[in-house]
Amino acid sequence: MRKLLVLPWLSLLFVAAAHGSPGAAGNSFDRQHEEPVRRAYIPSDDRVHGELRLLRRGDSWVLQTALWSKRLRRGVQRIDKKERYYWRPENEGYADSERYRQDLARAKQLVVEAFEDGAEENDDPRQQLLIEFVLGPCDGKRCEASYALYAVELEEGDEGWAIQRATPIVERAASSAYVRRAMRIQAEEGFGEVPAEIGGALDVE
Amino acid sequence: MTLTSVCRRLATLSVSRPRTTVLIGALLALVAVAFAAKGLRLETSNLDLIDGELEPVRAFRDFADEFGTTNLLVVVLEGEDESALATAARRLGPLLRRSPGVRAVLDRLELDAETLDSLGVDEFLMSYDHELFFLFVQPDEPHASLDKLAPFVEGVQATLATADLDSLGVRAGLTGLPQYAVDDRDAVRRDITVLSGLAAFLVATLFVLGFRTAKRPLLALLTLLIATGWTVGVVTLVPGHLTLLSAFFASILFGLGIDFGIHVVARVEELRRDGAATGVTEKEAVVTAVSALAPALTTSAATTAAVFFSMLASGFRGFEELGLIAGAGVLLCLIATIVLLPALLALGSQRGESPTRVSVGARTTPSRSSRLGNVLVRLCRPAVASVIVGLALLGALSEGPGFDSDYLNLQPRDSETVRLERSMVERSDLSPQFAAFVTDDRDEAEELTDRLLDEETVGEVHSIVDLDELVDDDGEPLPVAESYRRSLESAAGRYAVYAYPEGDVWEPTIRDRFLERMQAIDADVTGMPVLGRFMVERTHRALRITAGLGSIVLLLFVFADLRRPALVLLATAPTFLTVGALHGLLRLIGVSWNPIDIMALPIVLGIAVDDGVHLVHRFLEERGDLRRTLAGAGRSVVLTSLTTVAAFGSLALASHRGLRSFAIVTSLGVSTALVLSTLVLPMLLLAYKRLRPAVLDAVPKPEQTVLPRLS
Repeated sequence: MRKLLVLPWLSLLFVAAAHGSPGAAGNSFDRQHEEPVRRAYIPSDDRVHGELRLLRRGDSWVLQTALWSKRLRRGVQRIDKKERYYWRPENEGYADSERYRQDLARAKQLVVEAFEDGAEENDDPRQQLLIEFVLGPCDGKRCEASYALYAVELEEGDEGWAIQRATPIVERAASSAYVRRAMRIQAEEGFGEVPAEIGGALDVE
Repeated sequence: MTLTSVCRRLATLSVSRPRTTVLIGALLALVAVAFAAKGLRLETSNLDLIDGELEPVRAFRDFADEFGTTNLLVVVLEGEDESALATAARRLGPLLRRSPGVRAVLDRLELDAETLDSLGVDEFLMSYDHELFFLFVQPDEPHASLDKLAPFVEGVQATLATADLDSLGVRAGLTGLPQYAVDDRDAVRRDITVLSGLAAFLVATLFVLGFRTAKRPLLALLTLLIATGWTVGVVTLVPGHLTLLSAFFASILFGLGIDFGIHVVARVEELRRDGAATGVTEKEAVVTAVSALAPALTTSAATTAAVFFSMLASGFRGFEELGLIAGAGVLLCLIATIVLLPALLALGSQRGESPTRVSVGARTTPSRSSRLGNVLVRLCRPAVASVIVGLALLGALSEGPGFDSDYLNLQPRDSETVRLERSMVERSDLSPQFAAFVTDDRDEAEELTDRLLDEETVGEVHSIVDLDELVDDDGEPLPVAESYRRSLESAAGRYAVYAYPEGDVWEPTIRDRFLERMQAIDADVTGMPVLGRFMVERTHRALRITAGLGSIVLLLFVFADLRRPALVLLATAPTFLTVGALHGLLRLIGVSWNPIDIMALPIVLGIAVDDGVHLVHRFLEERGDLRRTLAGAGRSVVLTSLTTVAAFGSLALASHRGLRSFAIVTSLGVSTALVLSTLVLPMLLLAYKRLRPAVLDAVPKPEQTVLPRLS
């Protein structure tokens, strides 16, 4: 088992605490009750810069994007461009997307700075960031929705990459319309389709 | 020997040998123009406007020589169908590479779809919404000269026209500084072609209304043309070339130089009319007019030239050369007015005139021109003057119009080039304007790329690091165009890193913040925004230096002429009040100073001081007779101001907003000077007469010597 990265956790925790964690939405990281549904490397099996996972966590659907890359800045920039492409000012969820882009930039900055601060201790040049979109629990068609960004420590195991430790940087409630569409787009791009298991949960209210 | 006597001798000689004088003058002009045709160069690069040894200019040129210029043309493809845009971009790339003057085209990654998908990178440079595709086209001309850039831009335009993009439902347009340079040229050419006709018509109408004859004014115009020819010859000697700014010198001379002729012609008419009973001849009237006007003409020409020469200290090569050329031109116009115009007027006069004698300064009886004097006298009221002075002072104390350094605000309001650039900046993280860094090694380039990607003011970064991602399954580099690689890694083994601003870099606050951050990262950063801001700062500095130094030399020259501080204050009051009033007026109508307006300043100062000096001289000559002063010099002042307003004011209809702003500032300044000279200065002169009657009495009486009969 190879440890991917030892982040200077303490400093990151301080930095994350200093920046605050807006609007916690009940999507705290909880691996005990997770049930993996689908996984795929991104952008492709040949060139792995991360992994997309669909999970069932209790009554919620979770779409995780774990990024590990020497060029995390560039990866985050690509996500930023996609957000701008899919959410235009006239789209429902545009304000959520704007907030998400700001949060993403902040999270990236914290992770990169923490990585660079501890660069001499790191035995792997890759920086890591975990993004979660959470939908549920639902009451009929009305669902709680949120997203969260974590600094993570990953380990390679028999079942792929496992998350050893996660420090929340941002946890924020968002409109279900935004989260549903974001999950649908990511699933289509990462898995090539919306997995059948998630069924109509991603349909617009 | 006094100035008056020198001028009288020259004018006498001129009218005595009119054919010889005209022949010599015209011949000199022809030789000068022929000399210019052979040796005068036109330098059309913006970089020619500034000292090439200054650090930002040197850095820009060095970068262009090593990596190719950052002065890029951007083809913008617009459409709603992404696949049609992709087809259009694929079609255009190879065509553009074959276009004349193209060094490189950055259009797409030439990799198959599977590889692109596997890499997770985009094939094209696109807007966020994928409705705009961008192709960056780099000219092989590294130093931005318009004569090389224009064929390059026209070649790209021709390529777009033949690419049949309409059939794909794709619209194509161009933006970036090369396109702006061509737009500027076309707009200025179109505006000047159309509006110079209007200006000529207005000036001719004013001449006919003002003089009731076209002959003498036309001869004054011919004098000006010959003087301009001489100036062209001087320009060929020093500095040996014209730039985009100094090429305007002829327009400036036409606006200012004609005034000397108008003063002489008006005085000749006055003398002929008033001396009709005694049968004064044209030649005698001409010599008398030149002699009487010599001090005022010389002072106003010297002060105007000195204001232009003060541009030599501006630190901006374009304005230094314009100042030198226009200053020399104004002095040559004065010489032509004293030496050549008398000969032309003599030749133009009818033969067989009565050889009656006339006394210089002989009092004349009120006549048609005195109607204007009467009108002006009626308008001159202490209350009116007080209100005008109050408003002018209020203007001087106001916050002022500010300085607009947004180059896009000089472009026509409906400019397609501006629209495309604004769309590009708004809808993508790319821009035709970007900062460019150089690093000595690859690690440094990588570090810098990361640092720039973290910058909030940066939207996108391109560097050699981008190529690291372009590897095949075995980690081997994928092929990229050599020209693209060369724009990132030079033959000397150094690396370029490009940072695109987040937001509209033409917006001053965004630009300043972006450049402040870029210069904090590396003081040697270059690129068009860096060079652009440097040039704007230099022009702003040139404006302050020209205004400050110009005011000082202006005062010195007027003092050298009038000697008495009170008279100097009177003669220059319209000038300084004009500058103050203009300050407030521009603020009031929402017009800011811009780099082009700097050329308006010496024109306004020149006309304003001309008005004051002529009126004070005439007031002294008329021993405090305000009605006669206004009937004589007042008429000339009104005519010179109106012709200048007509000539420059017609440009206020120009589509090019820089030209329009220049026209508005010039017209407003000249009009303000006219109002102050004709409604305020007379009140001040009357006050002076009451306070210091002895001074007027002490003015030597006009020479009652009888002129020799001239034939």
